[in-house]
Amino acid sequence: MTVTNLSNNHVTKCGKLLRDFPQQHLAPDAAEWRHAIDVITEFRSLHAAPMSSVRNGLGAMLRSKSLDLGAAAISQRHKRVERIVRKLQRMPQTSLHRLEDIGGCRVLLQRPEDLDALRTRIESRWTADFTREPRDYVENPKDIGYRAVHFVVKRHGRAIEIQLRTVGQQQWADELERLDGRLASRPIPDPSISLKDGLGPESIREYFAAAGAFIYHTEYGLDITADLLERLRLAQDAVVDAGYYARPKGT
Amino acid sequence: MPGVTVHFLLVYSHTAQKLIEQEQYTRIAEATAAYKAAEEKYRDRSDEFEVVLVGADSIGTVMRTHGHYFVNDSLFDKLLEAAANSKRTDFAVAI
Repeated sequence: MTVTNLSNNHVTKCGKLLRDFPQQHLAPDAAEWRHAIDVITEFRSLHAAPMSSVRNGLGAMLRSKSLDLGAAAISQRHKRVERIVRKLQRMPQTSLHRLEDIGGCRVLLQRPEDLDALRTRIESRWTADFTREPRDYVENPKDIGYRAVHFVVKRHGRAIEIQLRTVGQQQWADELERLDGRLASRPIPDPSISLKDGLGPESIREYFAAAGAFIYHTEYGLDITADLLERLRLAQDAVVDAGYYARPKGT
Repeated sequence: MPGVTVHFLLVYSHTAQKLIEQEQYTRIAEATAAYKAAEEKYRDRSDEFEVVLVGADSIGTVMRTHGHYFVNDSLFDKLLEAAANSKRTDFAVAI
């Protein structure tokens, strides 16, 4: 079904409905709920062309002779409806049409210096397109250990998020997503666990924080202290003891 | 290749820990329509299945930027091994 009314007000209203009634059987009016889903998916599809534009621009930067980062990987993704709704629930003051990561591009860079070079290029070329200051989660990682550099740029009137990650930062994020999915698919899932949002048992949060620090120190050529190693070992033991991971072979 | 976007519609089963569907589209309208249909199909089982639409120049690129849908070797094993050896080079080789 094609939706014709995509005014900011209407998009926001539909976002609120889905935030309050994330599943159809909870909603007072099934037809209204389905309309809200149509609106949210139509609104999301408006980000496709701006996303491609940003991805192409980033690709051109990577291929430029002065950067020579052709080995980097770059992709674009539409945020899942389920994740959009969850974000609206987590940030109730934010309206749907103001979400900045409905469409996003991710660049995977081989080395920290490659990330810094691309970051500098983006900051010199696209500053006028920024909708807010860049977020440096390498310098200031999230509590759970997430590291990356995020930008939000405006293209054709739509906000598009750009994530820059090193290989190690991506491997860390892959593992977090894998565990998040594994825990959600358990016979009796705990709805309070959402590792991507930093929510979960203390042992898991500490394990990922320690692993993130270890990867960071390794990739950025920093000292790996005895304290950091001990922290990682203790955190690993804790997640094994809690049953979130099997003990690796040979240990 | 510059300018070319292939849209990959992926359905990942958390239970099976692998992709159960993988379609590709070059026309964005077809890709977003298929994405919406797949989301509807799995909406009531979103704990078990993850539906995502990722665009890139090739599936090889998606495998690098969204590795958790493709590879199941755990970073955990590599980290423990590297920590046990306490050597930076072991970890560098692992990643």
